[in-house]
Amino acid sequence: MLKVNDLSKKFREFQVLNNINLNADMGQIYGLVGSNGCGKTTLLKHIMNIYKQDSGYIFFNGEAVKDNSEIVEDFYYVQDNLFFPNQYSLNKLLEFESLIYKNISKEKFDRLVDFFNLDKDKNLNKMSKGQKKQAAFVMAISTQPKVLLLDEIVDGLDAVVKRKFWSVLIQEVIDNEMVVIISSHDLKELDNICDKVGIMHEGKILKEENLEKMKNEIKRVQFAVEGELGELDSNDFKVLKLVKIGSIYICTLTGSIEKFKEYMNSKYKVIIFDELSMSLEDIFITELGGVGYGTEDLEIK
Amino acid sequence: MEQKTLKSNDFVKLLIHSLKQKKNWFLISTVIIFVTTLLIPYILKFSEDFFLVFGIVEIFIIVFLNCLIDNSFLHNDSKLAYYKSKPITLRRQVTLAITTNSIFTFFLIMLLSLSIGFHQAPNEYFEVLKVIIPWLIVGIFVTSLSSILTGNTIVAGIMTIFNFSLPALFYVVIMFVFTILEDIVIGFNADILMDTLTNTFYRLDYIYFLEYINKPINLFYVLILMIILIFISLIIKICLKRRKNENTGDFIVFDGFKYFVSVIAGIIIPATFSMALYNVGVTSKIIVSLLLSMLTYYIIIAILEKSFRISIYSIKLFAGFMVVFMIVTGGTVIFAQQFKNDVPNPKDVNMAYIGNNSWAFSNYVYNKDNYITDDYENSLDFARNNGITIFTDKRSIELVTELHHEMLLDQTYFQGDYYTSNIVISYLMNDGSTIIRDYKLDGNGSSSEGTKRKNDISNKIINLDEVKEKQYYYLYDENYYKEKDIYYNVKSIRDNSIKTKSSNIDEIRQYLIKDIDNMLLKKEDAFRHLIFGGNNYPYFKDENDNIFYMEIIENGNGTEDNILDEISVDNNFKNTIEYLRLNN
Repeated sequence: MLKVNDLSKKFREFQVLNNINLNADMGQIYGLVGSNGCGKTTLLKHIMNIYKQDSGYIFFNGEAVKDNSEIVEDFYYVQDNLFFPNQYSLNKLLEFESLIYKNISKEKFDRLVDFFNLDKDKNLNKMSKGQKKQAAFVMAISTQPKVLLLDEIVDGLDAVVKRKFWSVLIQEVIDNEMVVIISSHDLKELDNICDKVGIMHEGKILKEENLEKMKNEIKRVQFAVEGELGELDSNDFKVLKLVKIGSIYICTLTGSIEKFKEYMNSKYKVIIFDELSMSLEDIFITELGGVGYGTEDLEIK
Repeated sequence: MEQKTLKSNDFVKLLIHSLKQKKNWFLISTVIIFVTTLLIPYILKFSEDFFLVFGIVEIFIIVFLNCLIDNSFLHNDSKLAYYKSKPITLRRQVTLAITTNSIFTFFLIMLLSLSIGFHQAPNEYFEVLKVIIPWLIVGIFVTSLSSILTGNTIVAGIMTIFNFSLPALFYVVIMFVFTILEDIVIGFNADILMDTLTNTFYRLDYIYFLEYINKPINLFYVLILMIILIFISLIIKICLKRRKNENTGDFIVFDGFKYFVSVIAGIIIPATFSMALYNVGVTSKIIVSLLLSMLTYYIIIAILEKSFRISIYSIKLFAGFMVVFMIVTGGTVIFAQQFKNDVPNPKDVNMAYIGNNSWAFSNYVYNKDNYITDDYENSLDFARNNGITIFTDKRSIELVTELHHEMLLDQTYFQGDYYTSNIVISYLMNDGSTIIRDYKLDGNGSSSEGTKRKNDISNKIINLDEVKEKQYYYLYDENYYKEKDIYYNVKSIRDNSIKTKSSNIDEIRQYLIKDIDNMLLKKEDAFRHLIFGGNNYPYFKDENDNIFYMEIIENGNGTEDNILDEISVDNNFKNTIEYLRLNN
C-alpha cells in the first residue's frame, strides 16, 4: 500500500501542498485529478523523492520512502514533460535502465514494443509526442514496478493507442498487483479505469474515495414543477447545486433520492422527475464548485 | 531499513556505460590534441612551445565543458526528474560524473605527455603538469559542486570559476581590510601584512600548488590534494542533501550561496577599485567603496533573482553583512592601534633594517631561518645583492629605534628633491618574531624640525663602522676585500663611455675611503642617503663631461663580472679625482 501522510511543502512563501493524505492499495488504479496548478505533479515528484517535503511522510508497504531506500527500485515515474538521454533509442534506454532496475523484463519489453508498433532503434528524441509517451510507457511497464506513477500519460494520444494503453495497464495491475497513480485532466478516460480517485485543489486533497462509492454519494436529478420553486431544505438530503434551464431544474445532491422525491411530491406538483447518471467529471465539477472553483460568473459588457 | 541502492559492482557497470557514452569525446579530443600539439608543429617545423601551451589550454576547455555537460541534468526540470526518479542517489550520479571525467582527464594528460615526449620538449612541461593535474582534478570536483549549487548550466560555469578563485578572492578581501587599516593606522602596510599572512598562514602557493613548480612532489603535495578533495566532497555531500530541486531553473538554487556570491562581489568590486586609488582621503575612499558595494550587491542580486525588485530580506542581509564587515575591519584597526606606537627595546632586537625595500628584509630573515642559503655569508650576499643594510650592532639598532620614535612623532621630510616613498623599518627580535612598520612621509613643503631631527639621527647611523662596512663593503669590509678580485671603470655620465678601466681597486681604495668618510660626515641629507642606500645614491646630474661615475666591479674570473656599486664622482670626491687625474 502506498500511503502519504500529512505531506506539506512550500515553494518559498507559496504553500504548494497542504497536509496531503493519500492512500492507494495494491492492485488499485488511483486517479489523481484536480484544478490546474493544484499540485498534482508536485505530489508525484514528492512520492518519487525528487522534491523533499517540509513535513509529512510517504510509506510503501509500511516502510518510509527515502532517497536511498532500496524500495525506490520498485517505483517508476513517467513524467508529463518527457526526457530521454541524448542520442538514446529504446534499445539503448533498455541497456541503460537494465543497469539500474533489477526486475526489468526484456521479454516484456519486446512484446510491448511489438504491441505498440515502435521502432526500437529510432532516436527517442526524434519521435513524435505520442510515440515518446508510448516508449516511456513501454519502458515503465518493462521494469515491472510495484508503484507506477503516470503524469498526463494519455495526453496527446489517439483513441486507439489510448485503448491499448489501458488494456496493458489493467492487465499489468491484475497480474502484478501494483499500485498505479495516474494524474490527468482527461476525466472521461479516468472514469473508465480508476478504482479510486483523489480530487485535489490548491494543494489539498478535497476528497479521496472509491469511484463507485463517490458516484453513489453524489446524485443528480432533473425535474419540473408547477409554480415557483422555493427553498429545498430537509435533513434527508443536501442540495449541492441547483440550475434552471428553461422550466427544467437540474439538481445535484447528496443523501437519499427517494426521500428527495417524496419531499418534492409533498411540496410541489412534480411534472417531470428523472435521475441522471453521474460521471467523474460531474463529481469533479461539483466538488470544486463546493470550494468556489469555477462558479464565478463572467460578465461581458 | 535503509540500504544503498547500488552495490560497487553496479557502480562499475554504470561507470563503464558512462565511459562508453563518452567515446565520441575521447575520439574528438584525441584528434584535437594530436593535430594541434603534434601534427601542426611537426609540419610547420615551428616551435612546439606555443602548441604545447595551447594543448594545455585545450585540455582545460575540454574537461571543463565535459564536466558541465555531465552535470547539466541538475539544471533542467525534466532531466533532473528523470535521473532523480531512478534508483541511484544524486550523490552516486555526481560521483559517477566525477569519476568518468577524472578518467577522461587522465587520458588527455597521457596524450599531452606523449606530445611533450615526441617533441623532446624541455622538462619544464612535465614540471608544469604538477600544477595542471591537481588544478584539473580539483576543477572537476568544483564544477560538480558549482552545478549542484546552481540551477543553470551557464551560471554553473561562471560559478566554477568563482569557486575555484575563492581562495584568491578571499586574498583580495583580506587585502581590502588591510588597505583600510593602512589608511587609518600609521606604520602599517597592506602589502607587508599580506606578505606576512601569505608566508605564514594563508599559503595560496600551496592551495594552488604553485609552490611545486620548482619542487619535487612529496607527501605534503598528495596530502594537500587529498584534503582539498575531501573538503569539496564533504560540501558536495551536504549540498546534495539540502538541495531544493524545485528551484531548478533559478540561476542559483541555494539562497545562502546566492547571497554569499552577491556579498563577495559586493566587496571585490569596490576593493579592487579603491585599492587602485592613490592619494585619496580615507573618508572619500570608504564612501566610494560603500556606494560601489551597494550598487554591485544590488546588480548581482537583481541578475540572480531575475528581478529589479529587491526584497527586504536581501536589504537586511546586506546591512548585516556591512555591520559584520565593519566589525571585522574596525576590530582589525583597533587591534592594530595598540601596536601603532610600539618601538622595541634595542636590547630585544637581533637585527634591524631601515630603507625602502618592503620585502628584502623578510626574505633575508626567511632564508636564514629556513637554511635556504648555505651559511650566513651567503645570506649576507643576498642582502648585498638586494642593496639592503641589516644592522646587527647594538649602537646601530639603538639609533634605528631612535629614528623609529622620530617617525612616529613626525611624518614629514622636506629635503631637496626627496619624493614620497615608503619607509620600511623592520626588526628581527631575539625571540624570532618580526616587527615590520611602513611609513609614508610627506615630502612636499619646506624644511622642518622633523627633517632636521631625521637627518641628525641618520647621520649618526651612516657614519657607523658597521654601516660603512655593509654599504661600501667592497671598500670597508677587510674580509670581503681580501677575498674578492675587484676593479673599477670610470664612465662618463653623458654617454656612459668608459674613460678608465683598472685592473684592480687596490690603489684607489684609500682615496675612495677618505672621500666617502668625509662625504658621510658632512652629509646634509643623511636620512635620504640612509633610506635609498649607497647603491642608489643619486647621481650629480650635470651636463659637464668632467663629471664621471665609477662602476665598482667584482671580477667573475671566468664567470660573468658582477657590478657591485656605482659611485658618482662629484665634488665630494676630491682625493679620488686627483688620483684619477694623475693616473690618466
